Amino acid sequence: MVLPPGPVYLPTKFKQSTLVDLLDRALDKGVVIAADLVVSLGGIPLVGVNLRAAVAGMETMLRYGLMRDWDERIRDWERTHVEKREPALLESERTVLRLYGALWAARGIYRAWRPGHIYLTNRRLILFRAQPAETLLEIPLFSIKGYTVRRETRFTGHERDLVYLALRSGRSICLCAEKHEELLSAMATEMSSMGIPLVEEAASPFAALDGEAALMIGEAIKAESKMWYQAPQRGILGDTWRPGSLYLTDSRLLWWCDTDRQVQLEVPVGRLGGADVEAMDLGGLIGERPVLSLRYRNSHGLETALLTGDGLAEWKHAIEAFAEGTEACPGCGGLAPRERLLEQGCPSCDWTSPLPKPEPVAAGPAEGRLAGEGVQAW
Amino acid sequence: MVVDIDEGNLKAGLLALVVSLVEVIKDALKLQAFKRMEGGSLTEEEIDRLGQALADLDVALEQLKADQGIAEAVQQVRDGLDDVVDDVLDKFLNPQSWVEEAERSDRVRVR
Repeated sequence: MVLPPGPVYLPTKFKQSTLVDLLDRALDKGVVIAADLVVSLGGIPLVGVNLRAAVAGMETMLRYGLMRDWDERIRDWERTHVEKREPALLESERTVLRLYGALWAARGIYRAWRPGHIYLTNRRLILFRAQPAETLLEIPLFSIKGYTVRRETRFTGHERDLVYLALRSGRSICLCAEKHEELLSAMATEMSSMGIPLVEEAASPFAALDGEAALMIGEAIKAESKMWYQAPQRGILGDTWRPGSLYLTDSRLLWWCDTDRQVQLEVPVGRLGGADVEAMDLGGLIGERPVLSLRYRNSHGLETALLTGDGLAEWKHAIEAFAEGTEACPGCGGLAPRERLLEQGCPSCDWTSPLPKPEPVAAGPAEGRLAGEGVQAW
Repeated sequence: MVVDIDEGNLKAGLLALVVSLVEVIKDALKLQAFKRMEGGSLTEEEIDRLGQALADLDVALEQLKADQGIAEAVQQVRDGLDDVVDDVLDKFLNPQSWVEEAERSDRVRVR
């Protein structure tokens, strides 16, 4: 056969051997290491190492008659001891949906995502980890009050949706689920067949100060932005600037630490003094930049918190405008937003307005007038 | 060249390295698992359990990669590792072919 004229095609290697191939081959054949080692100092042997090791895949080990009884025993133990691979269901309970998910668990210094499988049954929501078997979360569907989905940005810049469930007990939990829309719609279906609505509520995802991932359903956010906060000294760490978000709601100002997923500064609206923007030398590479210094009162007296980020002037205005719209509570003397005092009572003591509440059917303007009169009366 | 390292990409890079090593181990374990399944010493129920565990591990790793946005970085690290392994093995196993290849490329360059 005569090859056509032109470039000569040479056979080239196309099969690349990978690290996995190498490992597989090594495990398949088995590796035996035999080493004798003497560590000596000044000609005097001090430490002796006599090493005999064989590393191989179990199948190879068994072929050479090694570790046979171990193999039997381990499998036997697994057979007799571990029977729980699924969460225990009640009678008449059936699994509706099973998907991969994780629960944010925070207790004391332990704060981490605990992964497992979310089982939605017709009665409960369960997060179950198969190995080692543990039920990480178990809540009856009727105890769920509402939910909110919040998109959060991870440090990689990747965004993901977290599901916050508010429970009737006042607690709330934070879940990360593989397909959360599917989970929520299935939950809504199951709950509506029980006659309970599952409503989406506006909520702010703030951990209560005890560290539980929590959210305050019904708390409206008035302003929020990414902000650095000079966290006060803690343990061996001195004052450190930490990344997070600053939120102003209708009842508090708080700063949420991104890395700890925890509130580290919480000022009830009544204790908010005011804010100033001043230039400050932050040292190092950052140099001088504007800083929002926030004045507030706590049990120790007057305190100042330092925050920095974008839009400091807007924050100063927002905080000041908010501080102006407050009124002293006749009960305890603490400051609170005027409307909140009149409609819901004082956030710090039990005082409620003796004025008649506006009828729920009343039109908007009428309500406004009534509230205005109330303020004048005080 | 300026290497731009901040907290974010350092964390992501380190995580990608760890995850790619875990993936390599997972793949090696998977191949061993297939060998055991074919070996015939496992019961039907044990094979089921092993398969389920491997599938769960796959899902968990994929989820982790998607969550952290490091799927691409992991693939890059693994390709890099594979290239190194391929290179070293090739040099070890047939040094002769290397000599030939070097000579050939020399000839091409001369021509």
